[in-house]
Amino acid sequence: MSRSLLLNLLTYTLLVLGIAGRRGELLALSLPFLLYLLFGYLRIPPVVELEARRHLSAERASPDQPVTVTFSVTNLGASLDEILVEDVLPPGLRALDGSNRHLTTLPRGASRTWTYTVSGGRGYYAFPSVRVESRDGLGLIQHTDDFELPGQLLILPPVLRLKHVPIRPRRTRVYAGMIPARVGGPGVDFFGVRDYQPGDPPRRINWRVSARQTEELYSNEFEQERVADVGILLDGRDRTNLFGGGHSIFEHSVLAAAALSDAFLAQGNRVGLLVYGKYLHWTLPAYGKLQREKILHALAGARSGGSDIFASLAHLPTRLFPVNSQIVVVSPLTTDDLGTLVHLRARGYQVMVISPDPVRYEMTHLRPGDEVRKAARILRLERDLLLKHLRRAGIQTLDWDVSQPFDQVVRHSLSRAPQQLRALGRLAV
Amino acid sequence: MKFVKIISIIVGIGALARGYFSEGHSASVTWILVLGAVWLLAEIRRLRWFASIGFLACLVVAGYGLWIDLPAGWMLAGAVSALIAWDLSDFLRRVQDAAPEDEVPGLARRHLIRLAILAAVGLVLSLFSMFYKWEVSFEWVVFLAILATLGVTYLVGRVRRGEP
Repeated sequence: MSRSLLLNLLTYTLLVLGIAGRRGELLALSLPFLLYLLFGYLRIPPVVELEARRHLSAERASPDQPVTVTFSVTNLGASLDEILVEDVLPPGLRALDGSNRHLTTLPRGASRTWTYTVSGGRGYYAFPSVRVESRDGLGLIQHTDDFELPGQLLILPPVLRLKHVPIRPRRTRVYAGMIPARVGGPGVDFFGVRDYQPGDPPRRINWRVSARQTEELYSNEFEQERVADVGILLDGRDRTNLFGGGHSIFEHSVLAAAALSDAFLAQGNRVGLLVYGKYLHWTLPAYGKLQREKILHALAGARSGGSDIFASLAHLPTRLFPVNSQIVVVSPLTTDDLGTLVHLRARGYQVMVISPDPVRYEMTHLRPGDEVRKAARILRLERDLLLKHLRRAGIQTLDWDVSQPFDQVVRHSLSRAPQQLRALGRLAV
Repeated sequence: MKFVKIISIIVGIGALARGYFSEGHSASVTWILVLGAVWLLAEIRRLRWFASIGFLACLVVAGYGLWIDLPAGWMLAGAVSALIAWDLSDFLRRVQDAAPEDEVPGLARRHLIRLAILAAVGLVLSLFSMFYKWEVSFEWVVFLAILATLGVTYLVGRVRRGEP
């Protein structure tokens, strides 16, 4: 029950009892309360006319980086006895220093400016409005108004710098890049020997081979290096990412996807991103810094989720990825993903799986015990078997213990080209 | 501000207890003191919702006291002190939303002055109306009855519409 209603009821009860019982004392007793009510109603807060402004020290930030928010209000209407001004924070952001709620009086034409700092995890945050609760001086009557004041803060995932991630898709694009194209031409790595053709520079002539022939010359040919199409598939399914106690490994997957997309784009490749979770979020493949921004925006807003349709990778829209291109799957994996991934490989895609290790991750959040240890052992066996099957199918895999920095794991495990590894008879990375 | 609120509760409960004690209602005094103790405890434990119950109880006690012809001065002082305590309790709840850098002392000072003036004027008016015997004519009674009826109708309407 509101205060004004309670006081009204009490006062009128006294009045009614006083009149009905013809007791002047009761009428007299109601006088202070009537006066109180009268004052409150005379000072009813007027229609609030405010001009609100907000300024953020940065519109892009990294996780947990403090961002200073300055917001000010100017009263364009009548004087306000008591107002509570709140710069409504989007869910997920928290105020660090200072407060986003302030209680003050605001005479006509007066301005107030406040500053506070916020921080939050990865995400896209839209500031909705400034909420103003205006009250009469006694707090009897209260009006709440929301003043739309849009603002945005983008907290991007951290981007780890990866030196070089060797990939070797079957098909490359026409532009020069860093991916061996399986085609002879200008390049660095030796590719083969062919007949000398007029125009070949003398330094290209393979004198050793030519010496074995009587009249013909042979030239060295190098492997062309071109850019390639790379599709990054980020697995956002709850069933693979979410564990007991609300712990999620998804943040690690996002970190890996950000680092990989940055590395591939830095090599000049055409990169697209598909977030596969509650729904599909597809960032069309493109080149360069603009695409890097698009992918980081998509990753900033990426959330894991559950869906009956996308519970397994079976509904993966492979047509989004160009034929014979490189697909990088970032997923903790489940046993029923094997078929889809092998199918991708069979269709000619070069597949690389970056798999944050869910078993080790979950173990860190469980109380150690005999049962937990046994369960982990069983899960470990299943996972090892799954990874072994993937490697046998020619899929490059990286089993990432998320307690290790991703860039170090990549440098250690993916520094050699997959073809070289296959030549050495080592399918595993 | 908290000090004023605590004093108001003590004064209000004390005045009511004194009024009842003066006419030999010892059992009622005990219950009034228990009410005061509970209210104080609730304020110390920051159970702000109890202020409304305490205020309501004090008003009922004061009204009943007047009905059974207990000293009007004590009853009036008790009711007005309860009003002050109830108001300050709500004000302190509102002030909780303020940031440390907000000018709360200024707000509190203005509020206290406003409340003190209202309480003083209300008290004076009540005392004046109690000691000044006003012969109410039939027309006045009818006017006041109509006013009360309209007020109650308005209140019931507001409650049914769910307005604050």
